[in-house]
Amino acid sequence: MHKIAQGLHKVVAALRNARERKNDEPLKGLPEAIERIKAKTPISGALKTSEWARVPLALRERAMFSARVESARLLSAMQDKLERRITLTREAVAHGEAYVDRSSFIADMRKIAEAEGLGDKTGTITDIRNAARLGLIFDFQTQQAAEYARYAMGQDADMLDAFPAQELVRIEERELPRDWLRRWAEAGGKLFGGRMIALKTDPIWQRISRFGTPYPPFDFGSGMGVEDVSREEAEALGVIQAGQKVAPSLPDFNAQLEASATGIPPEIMGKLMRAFGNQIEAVAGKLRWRAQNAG
Amino acid sequence: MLVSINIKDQLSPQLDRVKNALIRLRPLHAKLGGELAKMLRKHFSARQREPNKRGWPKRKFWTREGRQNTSVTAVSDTGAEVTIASAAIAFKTHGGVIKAKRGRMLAIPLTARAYAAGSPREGGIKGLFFTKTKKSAVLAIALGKNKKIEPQYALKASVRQNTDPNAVPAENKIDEHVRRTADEWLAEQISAE
Repeated sequence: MHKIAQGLHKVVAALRNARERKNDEPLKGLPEAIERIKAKTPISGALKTSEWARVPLALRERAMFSARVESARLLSAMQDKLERRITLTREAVAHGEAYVDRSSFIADMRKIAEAEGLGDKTGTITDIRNAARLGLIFDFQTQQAAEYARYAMGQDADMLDAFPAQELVRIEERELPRDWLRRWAEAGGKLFGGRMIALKTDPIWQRISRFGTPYPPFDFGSGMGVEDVSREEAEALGVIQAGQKVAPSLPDFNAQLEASATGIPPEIMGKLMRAFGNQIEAVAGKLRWRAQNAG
Repeated sequence: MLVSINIKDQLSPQLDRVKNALIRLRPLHAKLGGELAKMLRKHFSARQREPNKRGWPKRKFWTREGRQNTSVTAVSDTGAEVTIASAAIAFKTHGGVIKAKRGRMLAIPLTARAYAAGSPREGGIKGLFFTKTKKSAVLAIALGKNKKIEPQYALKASVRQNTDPNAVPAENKIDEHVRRTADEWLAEQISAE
């Protein structure tokens, strides 16, 4: 019982420390989110969203890109800002230091886009200077990084045993919500008491995703997220049998890269080779990571 | 006459299970950390559903700063760590003075339109100009044929944000939740076949 008491102390200590934290103590980002954003390479290119969707997931996961944005400067600035946001690192500003937030990201990226002469002058979502477009980029990248962190931690053997399943839930309201129940069913998902629940390792999560990733966001601006389902609840609902073990499964995007590179149009392949530089190589018509950059 | 009484040990298997469970506490800490993270995310979702105090359309603060950034970040035999990776939530928890750093002044929204548009630097409201009212310097727009001036943002060098006592759940509620989870886990270990 003493060991349990010690454990309880440790679990609540983190939050107690947060309450007592002095304002000058450094804040901490989510480790896997940090790792993920730092691994990205700014990729400039005049590809539309639909063309990027044809790029292998392993490359998309490693790329900082935005449809039809060819400015390396803008993409590098985006990468830098997002990295600071996710690592909770202050940046130097006019009158001191400040954390990056959504508002400053939009304002600063607009400034660069205008200085670079970018944008299609429509003022709509296709215009990179548009605040709504930049807000979408910020929301998407930060959500994806945070959700990846949660997903990766969730694949820890003990975490997965305690919470083997998750539920697709609405976390933000939308004026015109997509029909997720239908999407779930069409992807082969089962309902449990009307709820969209599956094991965390179930391929349904990649199947419902527009981007092929097993973690949110599952579509642009979807307002959907996931919430853990405990083993007790999963067993009670029949998602998992009592005592059934679930093996952790982090998707190996690198292994998928070689298999999925076929069928990429030559013009896109050329852009990818130029953009990723010496990180990737084409061998016998297939793309793969160079050994030193793999993983 | 000698009375002989035999006591059969029927408790050893249960005690062995408890003992084995206590030797390796990582599974318990994973459970506790995960349940705490769930509790926090649920708390932030509930905060998000609260109406805006001024009746303005809500922004997605509690979902995007709170829920999205809350996760278990470490599990071990000695404990678990749950992180809320948000400077904004940390500031709400502690309160303090917000000073203008990116510009000379902070732009405080005065209307629902300004609140929805965000910072003036985002360019959400066209035609903003600087002027002064009796109360303060403002950024305003001119509306309609008569060009009626409507202030959108108050300009201030700093503002004080009070501590939000409900930024995160009360400590006693967290303790109660964690202890209850631990009790249930231990009961499960004892009763397992």
